[in-house]
Amino acid sequence: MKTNLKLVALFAVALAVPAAALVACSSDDTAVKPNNTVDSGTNDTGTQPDTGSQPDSGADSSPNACATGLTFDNTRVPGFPNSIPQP
Amino acid sequence: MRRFSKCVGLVAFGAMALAATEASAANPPCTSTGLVGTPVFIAGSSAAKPMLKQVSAALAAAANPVRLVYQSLGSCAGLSDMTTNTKEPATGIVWDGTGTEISCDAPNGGATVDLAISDVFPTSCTNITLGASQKDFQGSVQVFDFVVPPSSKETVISQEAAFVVYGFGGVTNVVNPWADTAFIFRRAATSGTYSMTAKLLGLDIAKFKGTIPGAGKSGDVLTAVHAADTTSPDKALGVLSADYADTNRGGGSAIKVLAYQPKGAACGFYADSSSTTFDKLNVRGGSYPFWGPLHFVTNVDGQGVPVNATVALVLSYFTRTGLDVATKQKMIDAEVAGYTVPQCAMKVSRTAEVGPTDSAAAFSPAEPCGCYFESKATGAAPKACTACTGDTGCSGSTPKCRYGFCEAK
Repeated sequence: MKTNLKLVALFAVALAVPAAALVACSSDDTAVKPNNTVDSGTNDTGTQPDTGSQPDSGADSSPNACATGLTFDNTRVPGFPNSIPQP
Repeated sequence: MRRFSKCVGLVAFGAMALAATEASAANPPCTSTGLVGTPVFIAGSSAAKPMLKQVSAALAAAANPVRLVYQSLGSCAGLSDMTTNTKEPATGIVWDGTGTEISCDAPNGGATVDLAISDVFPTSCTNITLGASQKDFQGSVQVFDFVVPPSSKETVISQEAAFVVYGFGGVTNVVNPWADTAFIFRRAATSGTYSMTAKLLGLDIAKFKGTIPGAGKSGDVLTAVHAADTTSPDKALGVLSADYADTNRGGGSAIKVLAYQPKGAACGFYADSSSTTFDKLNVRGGSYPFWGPLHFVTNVDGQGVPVNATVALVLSYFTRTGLDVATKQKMIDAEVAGYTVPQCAMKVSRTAEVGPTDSAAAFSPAEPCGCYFESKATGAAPKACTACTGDTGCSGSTPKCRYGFCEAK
């Protein structure tokens, strides 16, 4: 049983290392729609908000468009986004 | 009884004579205020008043002094006078050597407008078309802000929200807390601020809603928004040019500026890098779209040169044509003191009015002055700027010394 537990642990580590490497590889956002919900880096090249679930741990290649901005909650606007009433 | 009637008649005559004397002595004539300089009548934008006050001092100190006589009408009204050759009877304003404002009376029948000043492109005004012998010269950048009372909880407004607020006036379709027409303030129809706001939002100006406070000028909107602070701070909303908004971020008639989030954008920005600075960083870099160059329209000859030599001199100050370095620096100082942005401090420009999505393009001024601008506007140049006394003190990507700082060219 002891031997079996060790094998399971080794197997888990073997799976975890490539997964961690994959996350690290996606740290720089260069696409129009970067894939992160929470951007912990200081830079972000995209113009759209991040919609993914992975945190960003890397430094990106250009300034984050919204790093110093303020967001208005457009759900307060009737009909937003596709049916805003026309006066 | 007859004696009493005579007395009444004499008293009445005396009163009439006194009234007549007072009327004629209310203001000095604009053409002879006792101040130095050849008068040039400039009519239009009420938002441009603080900037004109500053520039007036520079022009009065010129080798051939010029006395600006300013008639505050609204941008489109000034352009209308200019393009239809209509004489303007409105009371004028001149500034003396200490910057004190003096009201003056236009000549009988009105003053011939030498120069129209507008916050917006002439095409943004209804029924304005420049004549073949008229030209639009562009000056420093006028910035506009959505403003709320200082106690308002709001910090940012989106294009989508402002479109609904001003399109419906807080009725039927509502964006809280701006839900009361009485507190949604707008300028009068002749206002350039009004026209530019409509362009910014993509809102048909004929469908603009809201309340026009007082005479509908910049000062009236400022007063109305500030006054709402005591009763309905969250309900009130207005638009002001930065020269009015920036001078009232504190003090007795304080308002609060909002960040602006363009159509479809994820966030908005202040005109400045924060609500407490005056660097216009987001205007100059293109992140904040609510601005436009000031426009000066006058009559020109076949070569595009103003037909009035004194007007040509005035325009050379605004466009920096043929000025020595010291005079250029004076004009930068004046425009900064008037809370406008000199073109030499801009990194973007536009050739048409702003829209819901911005049309500004990258711009590289011939004689950049970004470091000097910030040193004047904020009291200190950015850390990245290098002070200099000549080109030998500059190197690398900023080899040229301009106004005491190393610039790119």
